[in-house]
Amino acid sequence: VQRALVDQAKRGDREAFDALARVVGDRCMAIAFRILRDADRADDAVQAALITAWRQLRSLRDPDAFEPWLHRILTHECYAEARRGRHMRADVRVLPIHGQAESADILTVNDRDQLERAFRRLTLEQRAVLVFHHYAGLALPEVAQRLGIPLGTAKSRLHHATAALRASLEADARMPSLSQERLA
Amino acid sequence: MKSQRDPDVLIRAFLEDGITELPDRSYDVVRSTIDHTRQRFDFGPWREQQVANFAKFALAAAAVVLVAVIGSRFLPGNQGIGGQPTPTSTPVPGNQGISGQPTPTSTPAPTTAPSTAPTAAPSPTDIVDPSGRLQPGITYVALPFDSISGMDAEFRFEVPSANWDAHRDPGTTMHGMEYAGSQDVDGVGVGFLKVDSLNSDACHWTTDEDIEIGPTANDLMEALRSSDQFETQEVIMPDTVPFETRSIRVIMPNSLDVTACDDGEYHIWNGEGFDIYAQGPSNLWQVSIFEQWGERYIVMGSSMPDTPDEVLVELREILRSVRIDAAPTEAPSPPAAAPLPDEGTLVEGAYIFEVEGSSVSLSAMVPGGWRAEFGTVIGPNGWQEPGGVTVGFVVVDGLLKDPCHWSRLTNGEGDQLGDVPVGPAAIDLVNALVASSAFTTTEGPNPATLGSYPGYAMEIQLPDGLDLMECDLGDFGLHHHYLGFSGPRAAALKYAEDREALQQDLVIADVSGTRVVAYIHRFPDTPDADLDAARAILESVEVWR
Repeated sequence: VQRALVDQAKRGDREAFDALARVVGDRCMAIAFRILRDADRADDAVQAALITAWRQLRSLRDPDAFEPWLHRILTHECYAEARRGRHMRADVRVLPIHGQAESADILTVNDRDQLERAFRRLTLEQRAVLVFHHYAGLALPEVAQRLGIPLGTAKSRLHHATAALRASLEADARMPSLSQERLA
Repeated sequence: MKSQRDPDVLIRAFLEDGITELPDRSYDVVRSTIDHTRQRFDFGPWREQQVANFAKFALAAAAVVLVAVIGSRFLPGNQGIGGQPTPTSTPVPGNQGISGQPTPTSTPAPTTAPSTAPTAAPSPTDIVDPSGRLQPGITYVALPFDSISGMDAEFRFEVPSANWDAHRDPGTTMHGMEYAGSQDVDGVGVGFLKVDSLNSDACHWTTDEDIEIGPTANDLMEALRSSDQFETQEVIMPDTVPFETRSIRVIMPNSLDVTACDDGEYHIWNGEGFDIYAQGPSNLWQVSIFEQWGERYIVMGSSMPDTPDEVLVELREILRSVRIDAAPTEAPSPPAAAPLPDEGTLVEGAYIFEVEGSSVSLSAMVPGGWRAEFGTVIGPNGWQEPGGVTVGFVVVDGLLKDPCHWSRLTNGEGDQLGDVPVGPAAIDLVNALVASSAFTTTEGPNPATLGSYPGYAMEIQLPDGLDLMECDLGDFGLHHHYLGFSGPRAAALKYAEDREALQQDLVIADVSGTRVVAYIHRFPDTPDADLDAARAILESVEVWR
């Protein structure tokens, strides 16, 4: 179905692109939100990515590659959106109100707090690799391909990102009293 | 077996949290936009650039090298483009005829006396890092490597008609242009790039072994000549070119079928800047490689066998106009007022601001290195908050009685609706602000001018004790907003959480029947130098209409 929609959209069919956007939009939003940690910015990035995809769709040779291609555009839009947003909002705290139930049994409030802080210290490029690998479930070669980076770079970014997040959890585990104090 | 306390398990659980749905209204926005947006052929999609490990050069002084000669030398005249080039491994002269002795052709005369221009400073008509449709009569400055490796070389060029669109990948600087005129022409463009490796298998470019290339122009020439992924024709450059330059035509296979290729694309090389792939069978690339300041740069033009002659003429004119400059180490001289770009780093000079929601247009002098965002707001390059500063111009319709609990006033989209009536004059808004508990007036109002138009200056800040975390949540309920003003750009005056310390300098003036609010957003720890620069910008305002 998706391939047919891409083919139709490539020929300028706006209805088909609208339908296509609704097929892929939620997935894009989920990825963008996890990279940016901000719903407004993620929304803006997804909209920009979809509009860019429409404009450039004729240059997409292989309709089956639509989603990886869109994700690459989306990642760039996330980077751009983050740069645009710096002066507009500062260190916006994300209140976990969606999907919390699924992970509530695993993550403590401390875990989430530490991971959130550590995640925000990662570069956007590291976040993207982390999200595509751990959230989207792509193998690293696929992540590298989707982001258009060498495999070695993807490995390096994932290593540093994961190490930083692990370190935050381990540091928190070593200082329970401090964590409790911070929550008070 | 991993336990639930395993860090990887926790990280995955953390990433599972959060939004997974795009709101319906976002689809509506996209649909509404594409209803008014035509598709275009593009040189994209582009891979994120693989950054070359070139040693970055130190720029002792700004320098300019005229490469105009390249345009006419590496594009064929009446031969080559427009017909099927004849691949050969034998070097051929740049025009046609005698090796090493270019002969006159019917093409426009090349600039055969290349010179070194004295400075890289923008002229009054320069526009840096353009976007959208390019216009003739303007010198554009492309910074194709800016977003990846910091300031590098600058490429200056002009276009002969309004048939060309600047090209940039999302989130990057402009690094090329493509034909977007009325003719149904695909695959024609000009790009600026660096190349650091070739793909051993251009069709399976995501998994093949990259062929690393040495740093010189000759290294790249040799690598191109040796590749079996395309045909080449070397072009002999005249002795008069003042620097090391090689030129070569790269011709894609005439039987090229990309359907089985990775991403449906045929990529012959990897680099930085304009990352083009084959535009189709027999796609011809005119590649000029030159070395300056310890770097290797490429200016290239792409055309197809069926590209109309008149389009080729335009392509050739653009290539002839290209100059490469080292990024200036000194502040450039101010240009005449140029339209404020949607985004990007600005050179020092005057820029035109269109005040959204009005017909007012004004100009202001902006320091070099400041950035434009949204086409309406400027601030120092690399701004961060707290400590940041931004300058903008808006139309304000009204105020809100309770900016912290504003959601009942909104219509969910578009403008925010104020519930404090404010008359149309500058003094009306000044009085309303002074009377409002939404802000604390810390200085003024005092008589002032914006341009030559009369108004008032005042300083306000968010009220003491405000906890933005208590304010209404914005879309998706993820962060809190304090809406101080209503109007066409209310979003620019929307204060998200953690910004309690925000201060604003306002100049409110009546400009030809429109109340314009010039503002400086700042924080207690905003550096004095940035604040002084922001105030100087407001003092430099001239109203155009």
